[in-house]
Amino acid sequence: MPPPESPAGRRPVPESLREYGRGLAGGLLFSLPLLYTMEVWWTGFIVHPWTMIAYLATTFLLLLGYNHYAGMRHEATWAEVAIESVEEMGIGLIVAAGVLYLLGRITWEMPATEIVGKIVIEAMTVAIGVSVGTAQLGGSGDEDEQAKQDSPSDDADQDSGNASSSSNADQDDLAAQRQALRGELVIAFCGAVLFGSNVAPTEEILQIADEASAAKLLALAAFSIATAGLILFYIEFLKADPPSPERGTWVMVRHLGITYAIALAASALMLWFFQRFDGVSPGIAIAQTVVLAFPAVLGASAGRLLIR
Amino acid sequence: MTTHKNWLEWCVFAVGLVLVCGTLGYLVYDAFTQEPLPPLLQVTLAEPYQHLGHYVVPVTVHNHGGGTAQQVLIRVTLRVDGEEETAEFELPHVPRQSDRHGFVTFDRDPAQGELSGRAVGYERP
Repeated sequence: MPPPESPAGRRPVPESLREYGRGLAGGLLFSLPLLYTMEVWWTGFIVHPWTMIAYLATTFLLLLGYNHYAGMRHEATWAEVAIESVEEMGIGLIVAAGVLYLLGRITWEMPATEIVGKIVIEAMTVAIGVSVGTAQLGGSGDEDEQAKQDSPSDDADQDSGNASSSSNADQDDLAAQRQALRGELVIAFCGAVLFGSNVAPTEEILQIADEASAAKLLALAAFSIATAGLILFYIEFLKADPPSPERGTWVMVRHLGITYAIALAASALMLWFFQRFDGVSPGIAIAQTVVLAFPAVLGASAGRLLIR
Repeated sequence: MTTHKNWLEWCVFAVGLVLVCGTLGYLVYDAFTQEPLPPLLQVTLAEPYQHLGHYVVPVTVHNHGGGTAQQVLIRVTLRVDGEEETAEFELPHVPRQSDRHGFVTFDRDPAQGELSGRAVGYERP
């Protein structure tokens, strides 16, 4: 629990206001490129409502995952995480509507389908940005520090306690590892979507994919993986693990593989949503996925570091 | 469930819930009521007016269909004394159930003849 509590056990209002402020800043920071991209506005009225609902549901799942694994309050229950996610979606919708109105992209003369479509499509990225902003832009707060230090020290305690104990404890350890891995995967996916969605809807992806030779695509994929490796293991980016001897090459290769796979999956999903796979040959579809996976893998590897 | 939310957070949650449910509800309603129709375009011509020696005709394009029309080419023809004069413009998008506005200009006075307009071609996204 955050230390500055009022007697009733509730967070003080100024504290929550600051938190919403951080969310607003994060939402705008991460989604502004999308709010200024015309392909995104068009997608808002082109896609079928069912696709839009699927998009909404996917975003909600991402928010749940992100808030559960990387949110500010690690001890939060699923109900609390769900409430937080609904709040973030609401903020996303309001912010998207406000900015689109200011930019003149929605007007009162437009039919509801067009207005709602544009708002929803923009609001979802804003919502993820709000979530990331709330959790990550804080930094200096005591509660943040505590929350982040809590889990590693817990692990360390467990490890030292387990060293001499039974296979039961080993299983616990394994379960904890699995849990941590699942968290990293969810965060990596969120990071991939957050970064990738900035360019996914643009015509440029198709153009690059169309003109690139197979050799160039292969080189781009290799470059993407190398950059991910750089961020994850070598340049001490944020909270990156320094390369250590006990951490074998095999482990690093596996991590890189998983991260790139997540980036590819997130890219394919985004391209499908922005209808970039409609009526194109499988070769072009794969080429587009590889092209988009470059920004996506940057987001995925940076994202994975945020919860370490 | 132990909760530590203050009134402000509950308000934000309530507003968020209403917005999310409202949006979802609207999308579901839209999904069920939307007919699987192609884009259907209707071109309406308004009253011409004179400007710098030309005659300007405001054009409204409405899409009655179930899908967006893209790269819509609008052509308006003026027939005066058996002679034809055409003018055209292109609209990047006309979303379903939406209006888009444009203008065409003519050298001759449309009041002397007969105007007709239609969307001569468009694509689906």
